[in-house]
Amino acid sequence: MNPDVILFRAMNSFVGTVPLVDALTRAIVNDYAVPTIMALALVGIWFSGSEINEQQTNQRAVVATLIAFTLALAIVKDIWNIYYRPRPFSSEEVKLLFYRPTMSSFPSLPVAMAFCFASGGRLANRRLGLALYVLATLFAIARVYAGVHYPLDVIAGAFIGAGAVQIVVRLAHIANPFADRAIALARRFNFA
Amino acid sequence: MELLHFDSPTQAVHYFILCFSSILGVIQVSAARSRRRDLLWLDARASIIFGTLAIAASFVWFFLTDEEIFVPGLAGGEFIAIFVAAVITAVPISRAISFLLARVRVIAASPRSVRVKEPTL
Repeated sequence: MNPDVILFRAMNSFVGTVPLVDALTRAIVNDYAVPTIMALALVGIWFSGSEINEQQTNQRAVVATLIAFTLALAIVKDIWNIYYRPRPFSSEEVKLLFYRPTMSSFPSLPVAMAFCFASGGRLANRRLGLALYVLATLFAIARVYAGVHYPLDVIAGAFIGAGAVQIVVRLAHIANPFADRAIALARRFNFA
Repeated sequence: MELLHFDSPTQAVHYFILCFSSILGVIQVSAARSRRRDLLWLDARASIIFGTLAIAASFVWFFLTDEEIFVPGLAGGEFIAIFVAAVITAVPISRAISFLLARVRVIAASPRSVRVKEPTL
């Protein structure tokens, strides 16, 4: 038996046993809460920094995160084009706490986004980045617990999201001039 | 465009309100922590309290009033478009309020003799 499926069944089997856990999972797993919080964190980073140098560093981190998110999105969609994995509820008896998405289960795009934003947040502020990593991890666990993804789907999503940020960081010599132009344009229109 | 067909207009409006008000709150908290007077509405401590309340209230309102968050709603492109629209709207409004409040504080703090015009003969 596939260990991925075994772990999924073990996690999903707890649904319905502790109502508080189910309620918290529904609060986290939906499409609105975590992605919006992550995006708001980037807005906060964009406007933080008491000195101009500090502001520039933070704003570069935000631009790098957005570039990495685009990269992660492209990677996930390319994988979807090559390989389709049915969702757990398509082939398993699942206790579902969510609606039934139709896109491929592997890899998880929402989790890729969450870990991308968390990694980007860490570039600007380690403590904030750690908090975002905790939130992203809870989000990933919630997606499996709620019956929407297999564990491997969210692990792959996490690696893609965090990895995309690392790629952009390694290519900072290419990304920074672009980021600086974007920041200068934003400052011209008082958006920074 | 397929990404922006806004299948659920009510949910789109609700999500815009969530993003707009919480972005205003985030800006106030960031500005207070970074001592950015160009963005602050109030003093630092009051701005942090106000900003935190604005963010929390937005989320509480959204999740209590929107009953459709667990059914397929906004698409990914719609999320991004609405959030960007909220940022584009909230930032200038935030700056404008900061400017107006700063002007009010300056006028309120200036001596009465400066504010009152000299009577003409």
